[in-house]
Amino acid sequence: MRRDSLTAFLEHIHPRSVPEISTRVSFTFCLGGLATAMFLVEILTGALLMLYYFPSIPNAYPSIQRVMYFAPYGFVFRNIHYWAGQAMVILVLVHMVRVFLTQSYLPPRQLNWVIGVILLGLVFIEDFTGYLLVWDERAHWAWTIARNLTEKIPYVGDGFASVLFGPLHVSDLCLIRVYAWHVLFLPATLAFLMSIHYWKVRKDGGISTPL
Amino acid sequence: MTRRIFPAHNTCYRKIVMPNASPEFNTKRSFLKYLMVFVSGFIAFFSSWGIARFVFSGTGQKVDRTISKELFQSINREKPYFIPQAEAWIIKGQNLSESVAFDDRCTHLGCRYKWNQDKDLFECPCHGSEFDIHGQVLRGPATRHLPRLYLTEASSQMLRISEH
Repeated sequence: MRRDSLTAFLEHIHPRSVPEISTRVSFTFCLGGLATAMFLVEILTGALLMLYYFPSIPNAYPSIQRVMYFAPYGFVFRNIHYWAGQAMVILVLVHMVRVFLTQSYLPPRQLNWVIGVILLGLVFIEDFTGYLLVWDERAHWAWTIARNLTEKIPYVGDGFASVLFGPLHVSDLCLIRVYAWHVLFLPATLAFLMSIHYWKVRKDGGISTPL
Repeated sequence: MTRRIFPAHNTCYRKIVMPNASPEFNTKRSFLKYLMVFVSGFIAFFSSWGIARFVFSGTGQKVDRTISKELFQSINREKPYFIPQAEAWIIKGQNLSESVAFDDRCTHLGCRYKWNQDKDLFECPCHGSEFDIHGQVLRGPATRHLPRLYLTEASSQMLRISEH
């Protein structure tokens, strides 16, 4: 790529002018951007971990042991994946607090606030499904509790629990379902909603200065 | 006390400090830019190296070309004997130096041939190449004989199958 076309692309995704106050890092602490950076780190390290992970009840935990103790730098990639995931949850939460404190949920940004809340929920589910994939004793009982809790949602609980966690009794199908959510459907939805989220920030007048 | 005043754009310093550097490499800003590129490249190189090692690990199964002497003693001299973990056929002779081994891949396209007991020859399932017990081509499409491997002592308990 030629340098001028790269510059043109960057200028295209950035606003033409920004309010002076928003150039201060302490104005937003770049929390949304950092959360996105964590998301990209998760995608990269997650793709690497997929080369070793085996989504079946007897093989899931041994495959993670293999990554941790036998694969070269496996422990580095898994730890980056784990900690970037935790950092993403914290960053998204703090980002939400910042948006709330600067009253950025007020019109015209109300739709973006709703998208942000949905993104927060999806990040929680993404984090939780990753926690289940380890399939140790803790993950097994977490799966049981989460499925039971989801079933208690009035009217839609049973169906929702089946879609999200698989059959009632623990089998490979449950783990494969959680795996599919973790590596495909949730990241794809997150990426799609994040694109809209960013686009709306630009459309609604840039970084949330008082309007 | 006298103070020496340096001009803001002293061309002499360029010549003295970095005589061979490119003209862009003279200001603090450009130096920092090159430093950033260098550090980023350094990080990118070692990250890629780690990722490559992670990705390629375990993709090629290592062949353990050793067999125990006990197993070797038990082999029947009448016919070739297959050692799965060594991926090799052994044809036992009067003693170790007269014994030979063959890698179990056909010299045509690498399919794994088998010993056909009825015909007394090695037969490749993919394209029908045939080799006799000495590894000589009897029928194509393979044109090269089976490369011969030798059995040598690896330790007091083990034998090694190798090319030399």
